[in-house]
Amino acid sequence: MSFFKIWEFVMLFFGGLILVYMLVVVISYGIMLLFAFFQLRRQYKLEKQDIDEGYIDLFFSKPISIIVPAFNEEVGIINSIHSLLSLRYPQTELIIVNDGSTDGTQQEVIKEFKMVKVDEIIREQIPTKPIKNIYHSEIFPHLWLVEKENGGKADALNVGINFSNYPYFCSVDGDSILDEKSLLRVMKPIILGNGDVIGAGGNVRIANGTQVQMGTVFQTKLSKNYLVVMQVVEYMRAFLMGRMALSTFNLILIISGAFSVFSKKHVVEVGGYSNHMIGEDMELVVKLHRYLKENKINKRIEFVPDPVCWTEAPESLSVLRQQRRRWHQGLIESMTKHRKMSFNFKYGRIGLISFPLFWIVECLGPLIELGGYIYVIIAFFMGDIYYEFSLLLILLFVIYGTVFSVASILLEAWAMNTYPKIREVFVLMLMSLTEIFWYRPLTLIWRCEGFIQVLLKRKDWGSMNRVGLSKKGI
Amino acid sequence: MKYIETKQKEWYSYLIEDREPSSTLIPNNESEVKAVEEIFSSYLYNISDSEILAKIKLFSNNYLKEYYRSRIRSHRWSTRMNALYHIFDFQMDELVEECEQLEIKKLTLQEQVQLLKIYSICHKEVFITKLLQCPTTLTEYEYKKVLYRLDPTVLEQLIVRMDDLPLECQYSLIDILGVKREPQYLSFLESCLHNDDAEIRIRTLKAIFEIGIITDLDKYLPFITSQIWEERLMMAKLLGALPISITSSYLQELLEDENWWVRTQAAKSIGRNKDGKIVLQSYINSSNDRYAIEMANQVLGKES
Repeated sequence: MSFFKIWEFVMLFFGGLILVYMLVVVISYGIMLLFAFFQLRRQYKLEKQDIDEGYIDLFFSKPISIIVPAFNEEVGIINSIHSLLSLRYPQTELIIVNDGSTDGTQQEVIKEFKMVKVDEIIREQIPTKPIKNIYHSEIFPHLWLVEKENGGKADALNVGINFSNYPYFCSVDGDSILDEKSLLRVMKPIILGNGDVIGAGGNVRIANGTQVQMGTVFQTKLSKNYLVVMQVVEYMRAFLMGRMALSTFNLILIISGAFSVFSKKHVVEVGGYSNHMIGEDMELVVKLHRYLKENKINKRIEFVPDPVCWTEAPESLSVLRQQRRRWHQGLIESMTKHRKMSFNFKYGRIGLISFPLFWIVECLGPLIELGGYIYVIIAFFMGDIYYEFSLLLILLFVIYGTVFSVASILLEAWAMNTYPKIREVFVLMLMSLTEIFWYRPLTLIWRCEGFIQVLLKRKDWGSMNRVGLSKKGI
Repeated sequence: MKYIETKQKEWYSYLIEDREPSSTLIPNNESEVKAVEEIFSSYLYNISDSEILAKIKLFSNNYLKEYYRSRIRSHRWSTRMNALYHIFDFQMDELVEECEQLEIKKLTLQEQVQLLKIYSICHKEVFITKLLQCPTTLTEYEYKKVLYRLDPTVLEQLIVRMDDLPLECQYSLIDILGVKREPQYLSFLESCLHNDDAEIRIRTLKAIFEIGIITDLDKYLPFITSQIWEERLMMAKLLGALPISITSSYLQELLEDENWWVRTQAAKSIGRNKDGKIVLQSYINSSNDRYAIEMANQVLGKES
């Protein structure tokens, strides 16, 4: 009989744990959603936003260096550079860092932009792998190409930082699609912030199904791929229920590396991007927060609600799986490295709110939630009081997975008008109803896999896959 | 949309061809007002012409006043903001009193900025007082926006009150004088060189560099040995505007500066001069400062 007693105890214990977890998550996300709602309602139908109009001159803005790390990207690099050259901004310089490509990346760029070798002294503020050559375009005076030994994305970005001349830099992934206003939008908090904002990122969206016309990104039609539609919902929800509220209180821990801006001075202070970390973009933000708090500097890292960057979402399960495992691994790696910030008064709100929230919801969340799924199934068959218990859990799952998604879609459709066709809004809502049955469990499993990989200390997968590098952050 | 299509020509003949306005142009409902707003905005954005502005102002004051009067009292923040933007763009001075009444309520920062901008154009007499009374400090960007289109007489008055302004506003004022590039502000700027605030001194040097005139070099010499590298950097830049025969010894001193940016700028400033190359070459031959020589070589390499 004692086996059943223990079993009963275990079931109750885990049931309680999962229930408490779900309640915490639902309440905190609910608060964030409400927050986003009030903020968006205030701006509803606001017509004019100075900076977005694009007629801002250098006097009001700050010059910026754009850094593009490139490794074996001969296919897309020319197009990327052309789109970066068409960004509307008063003063920029564009630095392509060739991270020891073994294909024709370098030759393509040199040929297309008539680049010639020049002598430049580089100030090595952050130690990096050696630089081989520097080229300067004869057509575009602000376009440079730096050739270096292979050292990874973080190292390439650091070389770009060393080479740059301007006080702010912008990192761009090779596969990001940008609107001509992207840079203006993402620089907005920095321009408006009186020097108090040292980093900014923007809303990253899914590019599948978009088209670029005259430098403006258009959502033409929703992708037919269910996996992509699911990701659209996921990105939308992540933005409305997380970033918007977190940004207001300077609690942001992740800024997408696909397109973000930082103050060079402060990034140099923290030693630039970290090599040998999977999520070098999250790591930088955490390092900056840590440095600000440890040196008692009152500065902020902000998040822009406007879409600034579009990225191609994985269309197959295997690629998506790889991406999610990497994200989770990167997240945990960064969190463990800076674990002493958690629950530490010295680190203010970051230590007391952001870190605990990320530990519970992001790191352990997938484990608990997946446990919840299994629990519901077992409890359902055990009947008795477990039956009611599992119904309660299912209800919370539905709120978490479905109600929030639908609310986000409606909020987004109302406030931002990104999906002008009613039909598409319905497709999105319909799809989000199915999420808890397939997409959610799948991503949970993948993230758990990432978790296990961290425990096993394996770092070897997908090391060179660019797709996995653009980060969303939930 | 339809309004824009049908009335486009009429507006063109009124605004550009100086014909008499027809009464059909007067908007009858909200969507027509929106259309008029759009037409005005695109004229203002694309053509900078005082006559067109005057006509837009006249028309707005006559026919859109009631519309905006009710809108700035709206309980919805975005509606009020939109109205304030348009009042500023169309320079509707007849609504200034209503705008002032808004201040009784608690305003958001953006509303305050917009109001200040309106006063700076439509109610110049009170502008400085309002600026000084403003309960919150704006950011530099906002001050610049507010001060940018200020007319010279008000600007002069503001200069006199410089010390009463918040620091961010002082910074912006100096930057504004820099972009105006008018020698008349030079004596004021030179007086700022003695300011206690380092940021003010640095920005003043920058503004003077923009204007590009130095009357008395002795006033600036102390900055060459300043403790603050930004001041030395600005000096390296400023000296580049003068003949090399006068500045050569100072720039060579800066070429050996401990700060990388100062050295780079000094080398560039020498290189920019007509006889700069000769100076750099003789410097390379005689000096034993490795870093400075490297820098000089780089500038020479680029020129050749």
